[in-house]
Amino acid sequence: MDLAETTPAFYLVNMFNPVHITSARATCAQDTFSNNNLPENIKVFEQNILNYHEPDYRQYFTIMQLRRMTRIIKIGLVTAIEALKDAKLEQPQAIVTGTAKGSMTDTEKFLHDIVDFNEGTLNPTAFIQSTYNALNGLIALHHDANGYNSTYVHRGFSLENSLMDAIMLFEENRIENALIGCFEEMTAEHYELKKKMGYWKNESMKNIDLLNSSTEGTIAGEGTFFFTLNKAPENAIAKLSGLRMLYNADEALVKTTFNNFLAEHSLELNEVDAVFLSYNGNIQTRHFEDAISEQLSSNTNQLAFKHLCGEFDTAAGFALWAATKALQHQVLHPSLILKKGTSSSLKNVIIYNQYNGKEHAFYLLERI
Amino acid sequence: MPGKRVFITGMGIISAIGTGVEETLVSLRNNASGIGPIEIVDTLLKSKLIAGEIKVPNEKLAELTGVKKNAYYTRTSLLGIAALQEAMQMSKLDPSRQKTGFINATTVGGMSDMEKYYFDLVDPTTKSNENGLADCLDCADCTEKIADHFNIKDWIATISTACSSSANAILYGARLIKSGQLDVAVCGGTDALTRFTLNGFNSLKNIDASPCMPFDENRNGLNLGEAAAYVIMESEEQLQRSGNKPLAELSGYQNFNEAFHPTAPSPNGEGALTAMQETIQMAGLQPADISYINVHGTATLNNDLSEGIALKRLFGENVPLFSSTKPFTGHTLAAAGAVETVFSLLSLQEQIIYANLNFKSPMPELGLYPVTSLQTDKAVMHVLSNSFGFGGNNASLLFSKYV
Amino acid sequence: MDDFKKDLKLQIIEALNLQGMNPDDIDNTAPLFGEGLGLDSIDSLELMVLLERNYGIKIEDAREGRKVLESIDAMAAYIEANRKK
Repeated sequence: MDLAETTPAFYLVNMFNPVHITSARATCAQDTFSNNNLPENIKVFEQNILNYHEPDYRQYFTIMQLRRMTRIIKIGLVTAIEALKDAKLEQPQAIVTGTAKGSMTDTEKFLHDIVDFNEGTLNPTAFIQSTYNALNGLIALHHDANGYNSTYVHRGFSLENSLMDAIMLFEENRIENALIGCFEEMTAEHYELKKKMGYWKNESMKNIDLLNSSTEGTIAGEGTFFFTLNKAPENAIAKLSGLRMLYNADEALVKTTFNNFLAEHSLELNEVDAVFLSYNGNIQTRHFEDAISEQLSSNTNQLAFKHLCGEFDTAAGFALWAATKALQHQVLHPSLILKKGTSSSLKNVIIYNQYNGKEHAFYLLERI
Repeated sequence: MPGKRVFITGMGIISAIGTGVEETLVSLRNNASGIGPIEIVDTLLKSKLIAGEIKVPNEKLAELTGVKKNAYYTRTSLLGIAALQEAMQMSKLDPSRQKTGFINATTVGGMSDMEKYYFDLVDPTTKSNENGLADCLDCADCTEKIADHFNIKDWIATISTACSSSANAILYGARLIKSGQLDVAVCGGTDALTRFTLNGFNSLKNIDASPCMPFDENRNGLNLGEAAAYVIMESEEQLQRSGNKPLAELSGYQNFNEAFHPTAPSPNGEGALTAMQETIQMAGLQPADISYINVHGTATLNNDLSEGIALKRLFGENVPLFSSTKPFTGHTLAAAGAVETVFSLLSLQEQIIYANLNFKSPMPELGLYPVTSLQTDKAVMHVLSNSFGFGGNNASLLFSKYV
Repeated sequence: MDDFKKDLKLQIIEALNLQGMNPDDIDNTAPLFGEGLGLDSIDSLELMVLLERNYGIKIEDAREGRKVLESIDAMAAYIEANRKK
């Protein structure tokens, strides 16, 4: 395809030197935490909320450290600690996180306190922890890590901007390593809020049946994912070679962008060994994933993941974690496979994620 | 990436001291503070506290910006559109003609409107007519409403690092230009005053019920404010295409986390020092080259002492002219970095330095005197702007006169 | 008074979410802040909320609060002298 004909010339940049992933950690509805892999038996949820399989925090913290930590802060910190431990990195030179909602528990508690105590003397802790960069600051404190620190809070672009920020820090020769992550929680109140907007399925649906759904809406999930990145290739378990965000596009532009993305990285369709697609059971948005799925070659393994972790703003983190693990171990967990491809090895893996039809992202990961 | 330069060619602002650059400048020249009684925010604290509230109701903002009615534009979005409208008019750029990104900042997004309906919206037994607002609670809603209004789509991001948010948005945009991802970066922040934040800072017991007194011995906390401000930044190549004359160059920036405490700055000003030092170094300048510092100066006990110590450590006995403009606008949180960027640009353009209002006596620990009256006879070449926040997030920006 | 101090410690443990700590772990004379128990400025705000909600004692000035909250002994004495409920 002639790129110049289909897209303005200025779209043809966005290239960067690959960055090396040295560790990847996940905490989500499945027990991905204990063995840093998908468990043999996938957990089945009968209701439309896939809540965290929470790790045991007590071994990580003293009583004094735990005193102000609410749920997502604990999960976030533990996941970050394990990612750093895996990479044998004590003080990352940059910490960049993405979250669309931050600590909802704290935000909600403070909203309630304002009313319950008539705007009188209120507990400050919930207000402090409701700030979106609270976790980021705590990770820095916990690891005594001075340096670059930022938090992106843009729905389906939160993790992507965090990664781009770190990638640029590498290109600017400012850092040698970085901790990147995303975190999200779902609360009962937030579920209700989104229910009224029609985000969720009206009927109860088992997560394992999600991909065959023929109705509108999806199921809710939550997840926290942390990665360490390295400029140098030592100890890498996978490479991130491409990342592209696309805002507010129709399916034709998604398709074009996907093809351009491949062309920019000199990849033919049959060289793509696996593609993670963001199918979430919503028939109203599945035409986006279909547009990509339809053109894939029979070589390519087509994968899905939102039936395992549920839908949330930064669910792409699950795919990034699972893709990294797949490349590291050269195995595709059976629960991921939507349509088996003929490719026998895993070299090039692509992630396509769309959130609510508005934020679209493409990732290219490569085997080391 | 050395060599690549970033220029600012447009700015827009709305705060308690004015709608638009022109009104803002009049207030700044006349030492006219925008801090006063709270009238618009529905809060019991209005009997106790004052704030830098913009006395323009949402209906009027909607008129001013020409947005569709009943389309869930929160006050945060409306303020953002009002400010950006001015910046876009100034730089006369069509976002679809080159790679244009929008990097926004906010601390509580659409909370200003959501908090009024929240309990109805989360109650399963009630039917609310405001369901569409549910999506406005997060930080991205205002960014997308603003981006869509101006048809910006090549790069979209929202940053929330507390009080340094829009300074970080500006430096992220500059880096996207330098790395070649963007030709034009539209950066800044918006935060509407909310019952949530007023109560939040009240719970931290760091709000002064009287007009705030930055860098004063008897300072007793901050006043909150609301604002939106944006700048348009262009690469050097892009500047040749647009033919715009820069207002200034963004010559240096730094983001540095000091990992000291969740809310308090370190007593030795380490984070502030590093942020300022490396920003000046990046521009290839010496501390002595700085003409004016628009300090963070929130008037809290901790911030001003820590920032003052950092100033002394960096500049020794020759601390440049400096002032906090928070007594004009209040602390506008995520918008503060962008608001003070606009003030810095105006300082370079008009060759003026603003008064640090309400200052009487210096902190005994430091003996530092800010500028207390408008200065019009000083040469302003390089202006440093500080934004420090919760979680140890420190950012500095350096603006240089375009010659 | 000893019962009162024990009760106060239980309230502090709950207010500051010191999960797993017992009243006996907190020394009556040791400083609550810095060395000693290791509380910080946010905890002092939380304890001021406790004083107001449980005893009707309102402290507006953070600096004054720090003196009142120096140790369990100091807190107990201040509460005895100033409590409104």
